[in-house]
Amino acid sequence: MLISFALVLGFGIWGLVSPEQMTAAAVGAVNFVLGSVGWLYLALCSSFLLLAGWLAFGRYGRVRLGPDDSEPEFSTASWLAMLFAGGMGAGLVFWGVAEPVSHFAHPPGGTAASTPASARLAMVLTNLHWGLHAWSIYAVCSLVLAYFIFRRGMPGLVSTPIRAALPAGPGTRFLGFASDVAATFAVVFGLAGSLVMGVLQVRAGLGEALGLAPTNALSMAILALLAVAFMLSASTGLSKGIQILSNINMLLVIGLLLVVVVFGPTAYIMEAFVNSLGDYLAALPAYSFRMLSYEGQMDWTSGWTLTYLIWWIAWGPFVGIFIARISRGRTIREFCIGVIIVPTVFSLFWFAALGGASIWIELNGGGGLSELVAEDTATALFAFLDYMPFGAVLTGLALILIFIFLVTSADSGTFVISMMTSEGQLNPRTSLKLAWGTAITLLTLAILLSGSVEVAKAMAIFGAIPFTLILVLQIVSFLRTLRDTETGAAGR
Amino acid sequence: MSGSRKSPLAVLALCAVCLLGACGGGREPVRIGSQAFTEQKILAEMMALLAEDAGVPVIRAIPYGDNRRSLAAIQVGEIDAYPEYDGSLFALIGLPATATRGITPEKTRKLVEPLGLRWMQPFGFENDFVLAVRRDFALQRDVRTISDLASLPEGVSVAADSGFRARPVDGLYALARRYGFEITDASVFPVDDRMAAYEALASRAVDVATVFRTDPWLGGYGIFALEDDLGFFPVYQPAPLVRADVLEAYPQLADAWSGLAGKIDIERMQLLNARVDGGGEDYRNVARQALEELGLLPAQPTQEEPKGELTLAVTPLSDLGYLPIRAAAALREVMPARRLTVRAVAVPAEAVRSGEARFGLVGAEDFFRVDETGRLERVTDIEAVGMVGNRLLHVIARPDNVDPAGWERLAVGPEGSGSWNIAKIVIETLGLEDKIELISTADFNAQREALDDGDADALLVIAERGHAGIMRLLGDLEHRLVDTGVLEGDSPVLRYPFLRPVVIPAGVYPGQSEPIDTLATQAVLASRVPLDDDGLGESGPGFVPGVFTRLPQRLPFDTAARIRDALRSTEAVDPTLPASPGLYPETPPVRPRISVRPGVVAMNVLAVAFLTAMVMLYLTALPKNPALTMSSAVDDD
Repeated sequence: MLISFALVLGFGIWGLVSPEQMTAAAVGAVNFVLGSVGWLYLALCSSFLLLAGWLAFGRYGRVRLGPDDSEPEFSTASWLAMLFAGGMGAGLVFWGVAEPVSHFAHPPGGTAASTPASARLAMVLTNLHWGLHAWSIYAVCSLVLAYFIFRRGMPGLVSTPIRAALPAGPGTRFLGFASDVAATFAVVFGLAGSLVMGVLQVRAGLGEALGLAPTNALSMAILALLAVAFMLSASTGLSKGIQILSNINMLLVIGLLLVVVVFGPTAYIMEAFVNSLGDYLAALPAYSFRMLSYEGQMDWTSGWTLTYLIWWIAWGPFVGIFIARISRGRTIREFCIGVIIVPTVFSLFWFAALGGASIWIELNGGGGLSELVAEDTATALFAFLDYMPFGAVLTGLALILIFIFLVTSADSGTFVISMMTSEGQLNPRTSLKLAWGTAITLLTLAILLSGSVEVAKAMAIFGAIPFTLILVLQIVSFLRTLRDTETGAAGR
Repeated sequence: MSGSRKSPLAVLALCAVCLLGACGGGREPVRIGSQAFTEQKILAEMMALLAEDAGVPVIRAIPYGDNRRSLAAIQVGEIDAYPEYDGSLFALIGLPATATRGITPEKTRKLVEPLGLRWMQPFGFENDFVLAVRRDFALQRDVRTISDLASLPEGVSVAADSGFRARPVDGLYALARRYGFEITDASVFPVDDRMAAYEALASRAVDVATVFRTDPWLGGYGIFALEDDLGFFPVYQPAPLVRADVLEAYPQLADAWSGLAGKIDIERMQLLNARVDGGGEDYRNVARQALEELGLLPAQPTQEEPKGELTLAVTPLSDLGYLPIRAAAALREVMPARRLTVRAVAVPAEAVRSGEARFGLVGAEDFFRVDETGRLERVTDIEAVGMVGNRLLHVIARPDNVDPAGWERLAVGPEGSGSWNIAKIVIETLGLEDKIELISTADFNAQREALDDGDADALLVIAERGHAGIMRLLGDLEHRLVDTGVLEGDSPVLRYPFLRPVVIPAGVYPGQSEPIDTLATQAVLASRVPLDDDGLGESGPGFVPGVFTRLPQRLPFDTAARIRDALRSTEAVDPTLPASPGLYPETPPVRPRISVRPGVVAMNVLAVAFLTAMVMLYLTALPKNPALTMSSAVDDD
């Protein structure tokens, strides 16, 4: 704990003292990795999907995450709401309009822009980025831990699978220790970076909706409100604050969806949903392994697909541990369906509604969203909401939604860090949660005041690089353990 | 699987969907079309807004197509309504000339009834075809009426929009046959580019142009209408043309649209056209506001500023020119939903650079900086996204002081502006720093005053050929356009690639009897190029681009290509200017040759090694670990 804290402090100070240098180093590293071994990321993430499929429907599908007779801790609806709220950030709200429209207007790979063909491609690409891949990264991150924590009764640490499945000795001990530190590091900075961006998103939203000037004072007010909200939520524990907020969040998402579906081009949206299902599933095998090398558009692949994958991996440690924490008592099959398929179908519908309606506006209505998206994603969302009746109400709803998404990300993040720094306790002390919450708030505040959002971006993503290696190591450990100790007949 | 909390909501959603589907099923929305030019778009938008206000669902097909296509489409139900002109209807259906005399709404109603169409009450103005000429042409050739054209033995050159040229009954050639004048050359401009006709006239490219009575520029630019003395053209009164079955399905439509009857006079229509074509406003806002002013729509007191304002920066002088209007028209065509503001600033290139304006009408000279040693440096932080036109150097002096040798003070625009830049470059190149002093002034008016008051011996402006402001300056005040002789011999001025030698032919300007040698620079639409290029995309779950970069992103290449097409310029951007790659997609990009990059090789080797190690690790047996059999906590360090 002390070492992770020192490292966090050191890196944080570097970022604040010399933001340019730190950003250049972190972004440079990520760029270099994407530029040289981008293929590895796409291949790995697509294999996670295959792996999750095999785990769910293969011989180990009935293995329970917990003793064979254990019961799930949370109701299925709450479980789904919590994992969805934890896994998807405020970005979902913004990109719901922006991403399909963006691909529609500027499709990669030589498809003609702003045509029915590019609309189809846009929906496929959007779902590729937000669908099965994203959720199977989380599922894999989470499953390897949940298995060891609940079935084997081991501590909730990133290093647990590694320690358990490698030969005991100084090498393994060091590897485990390094993994824990790297994971803490990734979570703290990933969370602080995401919070900075989230605060700015809310600020941009307030600017759009109420015309508030984007000042530091406003950022600090938002952060203060956020800090109070997420620390309250985190300190009341999983079953109260986090669960209640996640449920509210889910209701808001569904409410927003309903308004768009009912008052938007209803049949068109449903058609878009059915289209997406088919197009996405049909394109999945090819697009899971498609990089635009021949087209000379690898910059597109890394700017969109790989950036998304890196983001999901960067969030992997904390979302993974969080999902693991709430999944006690579910079978692997149930887990994979709940964590991968249900959220994916939901996000397919989300993009069919917001994206489909936007594309309807582009093809049949007034148009003009695509130019807005090219310049400012935030503006595009609110411009889109203006097309709906009660535009002002919807804008307010969207802002609240973004805010709650932030709170749920922050409280689950705080919870996870506290778990990781208390030797893996499943219900860490409130004082520890408050301490980490304060530390993260201060770090967020410092980045906000430094005014360098590039630092936030660099911090949010940088942790993904070392964590990818740890993740693969965890998976191998997990698979070895399954192979050698589980019969696969459990619970049958 | 999906929990109890969701299912009641899902059922509710399904019910709502079914309900909506049921009540919308029998009645299709009304498709409202229009022709491609501004007036039609405004009228069609008004019809759409009033229909929506009356609770009629509307799909806009604005613009739809020319009136031949629109008339065909409305008969088969491809569109349900559009604004049409009665004279055009008679001409389109091809009735004899006598039928078109004294058209009344009653006659028109009878004409369209057999087609299953209804002719509503006219809006209240006439938009006739008009033959327009320059005043100086009319004076020189003694032309007042269209008949007078027939007396010109050499014939006339004409600019006409494509639709008008093709109309067999009341079009260009029918007109020439009726009046018996000779067309030596007919150039065509797109029907939605109303400015092009005036541009062609002002630049003396043609003698005569066919324009609309409601064009905002008619009467300006020294351009006026010839009298149709034989009464060739019928009247062209617009009114909503609508399918009869649609009126039956939505009886409230007739009431909604009859509110417009007789409400729009020609002055109002010209004003509305001017706000869109000249002022760069969005036709949808203009239509809505006009309806609110007429009291046909409830005023919206909390009318929010439309999202996504777009600014085009132009030089103050540009107010009077046609290049900015052309540029603004192209931007509006490509980005129809954006509210475009045309703003005059001293140095448009700076406004683009700072992000203050998304686009700027920028001279080629703005892409270059000349350092102290005279070395030319090309800037790359802005790029051309389309060629708009050429601007010429005009040097103007009082008639009593036309010898450049005696000049000491030259009035130019504000510091950093095109005229200031070029004057500085020319003077320094010719080694005249000690002799000639530059007087920078705020704008063209201040420049003129300086010349009139004797504060300056001459003024230098950069403007398109035939610029109205210069016309006035030379015509009314009898100032003279001067050949400064900067281009004589192997002028060192010509080593700057953005300055091209050109001639202003004799007679372009009042009192100009000789051709004049001068310099030209291209005027292009420019937009910003962010220099910090980050390989990592700005996508991602937590990322919102606009929040981080308040400055606009680089213009997408395909948007640049669409702007280029919308500008309809026949010439390409000068090759010395940095241009958006979207303008020349056929140019193959420079590809790096294969070279060994040790870092990349090492990363790939490591990646493969790591994967191999992981596979091997998987293939070995699990070590004996007591924790895995005892199911108890392991030791932690």
